[in-house]
Amino acid sequence: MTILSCERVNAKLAAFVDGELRGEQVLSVANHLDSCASCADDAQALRDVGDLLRGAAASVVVPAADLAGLADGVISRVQAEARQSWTATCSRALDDLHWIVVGAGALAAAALSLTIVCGLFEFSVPGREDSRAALLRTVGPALGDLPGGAEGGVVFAVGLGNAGSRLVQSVNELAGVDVQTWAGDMSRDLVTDDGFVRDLQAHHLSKASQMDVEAVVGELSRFSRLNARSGTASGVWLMSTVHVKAL
Amino acid sequence: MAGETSVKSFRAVTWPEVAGADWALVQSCAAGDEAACARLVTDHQRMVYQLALHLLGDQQEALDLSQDVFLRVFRTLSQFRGQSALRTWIYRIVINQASNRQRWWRRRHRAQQVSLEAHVEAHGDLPAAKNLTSPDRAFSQQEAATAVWRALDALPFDQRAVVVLREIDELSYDEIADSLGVALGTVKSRLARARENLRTLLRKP
Repeated sequence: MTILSCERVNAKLAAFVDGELRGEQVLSVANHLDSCASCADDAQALRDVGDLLRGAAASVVVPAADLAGLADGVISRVQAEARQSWTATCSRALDDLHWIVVGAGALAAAALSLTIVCGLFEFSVPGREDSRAALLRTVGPALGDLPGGAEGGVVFAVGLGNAGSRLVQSVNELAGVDVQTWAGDMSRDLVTDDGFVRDLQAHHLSKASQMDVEAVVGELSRFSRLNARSGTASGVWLMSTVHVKAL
Repeated sequence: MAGETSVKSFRAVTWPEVAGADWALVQSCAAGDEAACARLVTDHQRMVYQLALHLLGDQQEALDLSQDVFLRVFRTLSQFRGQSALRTWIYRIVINQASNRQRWWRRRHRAQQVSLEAHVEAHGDLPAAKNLTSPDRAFSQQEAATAVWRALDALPFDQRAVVVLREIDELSYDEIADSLGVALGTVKSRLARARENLRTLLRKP
């Protein structure tokens, strides 16, 4: 028979007291307890806890009258539920699945939010003031008031922003305007083959933009002299704080 | 009334593993036999009520829970596959329902709850288990029972459940593992912690 140490007996003590050991293990632990007072006390302490709990449970009076009606009450409710509508049945079936319902709800909410955000990106009208559409909305109606625009000449709008002057736009080609920096190929875009600069209006320009304005005026004047017979630019609008992204 | 099938019918299934008497009873209930349903309740109602009472510590709560448990049994009878005994299956439902009810109750009465340590500090340690083997100690049997219930109530629910199933209902470790839906090792460790905590609570200064 195996001789067990106190440490090994302690590891098996609860199982021994609970009758969960089998065969030789029972005998080994029992023999150890016969010869070891300390382990025997520990085993007795475990039994005492059990005895206390069983004693307390035995002192509880079971209300026989209440239990007597339990079966009838349960069966009545089962019958009533069987007659309930399918919606009530579904609701009851989900009673214990509330976390699944919560998860499904969260997923649905996330999907709906994603759809709304995608819809906003896909179908919304750009609201930025520095967008090309905003520039066209601002410039388009005003160009009609220019003498040159009204007479069918060519009108240019030039936007001056923090990154420098950017837009050269023909009122007759409003829908298909190119965007370039004026410093490089400005002359080619500012003045078409059959136009020259006749009018210049500056709107809301800051002092910092004055040099840009002067540069534009100088460039247009130089170009007009060189290409006097090639065409007429009816007007040039210079607008501050307008940025137009490349097409 | 036995021939009448006014109770909701359940999908008929075969459970070859279920022991004979349980199998016949469950089969009859599944077929909608009202008398069989009544017998299933009366056969297990005392067990269910007592376990509910030991877990919740309140008679009215235990009665309400008992009714909920049997309703749950009949609603989910078709899910019973017979891998465990009917009794163990019902135990599991009681544990789950009691756990849910206790969570709700504790949330509602959170302000009135005290920790295990605070409880011992406030009331002092309770009479020792060892000392209680001598019945002529300072308190009566009723006082001892009250002390035990108070200590049991101070335990975390999972420890209370495992120690009640073991010591009062006298389930084996395997049956407890089935009832709680946990591994055998978990049963042993929870039981050890529960006993240690109970001994601490029941120790006389």
